[in-house]
Amino acid sequence: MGKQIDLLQGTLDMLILKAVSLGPLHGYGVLLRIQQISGEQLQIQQGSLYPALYRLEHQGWITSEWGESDNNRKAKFYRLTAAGKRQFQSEAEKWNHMASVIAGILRTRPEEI
Amino acid sequence: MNLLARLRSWSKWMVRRQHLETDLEAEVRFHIDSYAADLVRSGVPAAEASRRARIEFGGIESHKDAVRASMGVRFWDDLWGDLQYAARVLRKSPGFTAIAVVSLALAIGANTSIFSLANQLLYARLGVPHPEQLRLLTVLADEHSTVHSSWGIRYPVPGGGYRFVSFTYPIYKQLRRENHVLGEIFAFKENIQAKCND
Repeated sequence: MGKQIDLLQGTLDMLILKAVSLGPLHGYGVLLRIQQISGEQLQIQQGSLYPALYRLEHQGWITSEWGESDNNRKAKFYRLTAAGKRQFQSEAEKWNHMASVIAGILRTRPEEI
Repeated sequence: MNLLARLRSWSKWMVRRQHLETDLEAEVRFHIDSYAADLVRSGVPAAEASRRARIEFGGIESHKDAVRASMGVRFWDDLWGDLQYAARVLRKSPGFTAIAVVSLALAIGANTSIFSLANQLLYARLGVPHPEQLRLLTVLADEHSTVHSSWGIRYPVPGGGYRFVSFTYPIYKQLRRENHVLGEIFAFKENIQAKCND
C-alpha cells in the first residue's frame, strides 16, 4: 500500500454518504465498499470511520438499525436519509466544481495566458 | 442545519447512555472480528489475524472518545469529571472549604441585607401618602394636534399618532384650570437636583 495521506476535510463524510447510498451497510461494510469502489486504491484508517459515522447520524444524514450480518451476527446497519441524500448531492456538486476548477488551473500552459 | 436531528440524537445519548455505550462496544467488536475473519480467510493464522485486526483498527478507546466528542456528549462528561474532581479536592481540605464557604456566606448575606435596606429606602418608598393613587398623564395626539410636547420628545403609537408625557407650561396651567376629575395636578421636572436644608 502507498503512503498515508491526509484526506481533505469533509471527504470521508462524502465517501461514507456515497457508500451507504448504494445500499445499507454496517461499519465494516462501509470500509470494504469504499476500498472496493476505489479499486483498492483508498484505504481508510479503520477506527476513524466510527466518529464520522456517529457524526453523520447525529446530523441526521444517515440512520442506523441493528440487523443480521452475512455471518449471522448482530450488526448495526447504516442507511442514507432523505436529508442525507440532499446533503450528498450538494457536497458532490461542490466537490466536482472545485476539482474541475483546480484541474483547469493545473492544465494551463504558458501560451494560453 | 438539522438542529432537530442533532437535539434528538444528543438527548438520546444523554438519557440512554449505558445502552448506547454497549452498542458502540458491540459495533467495534463486530468490526474487528469481521476483519480478523477476513484475514483468516486470506490465509493469516487465527491468533495473528486477531492481533492485526486490533492494531489496524487503532486505539479503540481514543476512537470511542472521538465518537462521544462528535455527539457533543464529551463536554458533559468533562464537566461532570471536573465537578467530581472539585468535590474531591474540597473534601480533602475541610479547613479551606469551611473558610471559603463561611466567607462566601458572610459576603453574600451582607450584600443581600444592604441591598434590601437600600431598596426599601431608595426605591420602594415614594414618600407620599397613598402612592397607589398617583397617575402620570399622557397625551395622545396626531399630526393635526395643536398641543405639542416640550423638548420635542414623543413616541409613536401603533396605528398612527404619537404620545408624550412632557408638557409645556401653558398646557400644564390649562390642565390645572380645567381639572374637575383629579384631586390635584402637579408638575415635576426631571434632572433637577435640589437640596433643602432644615
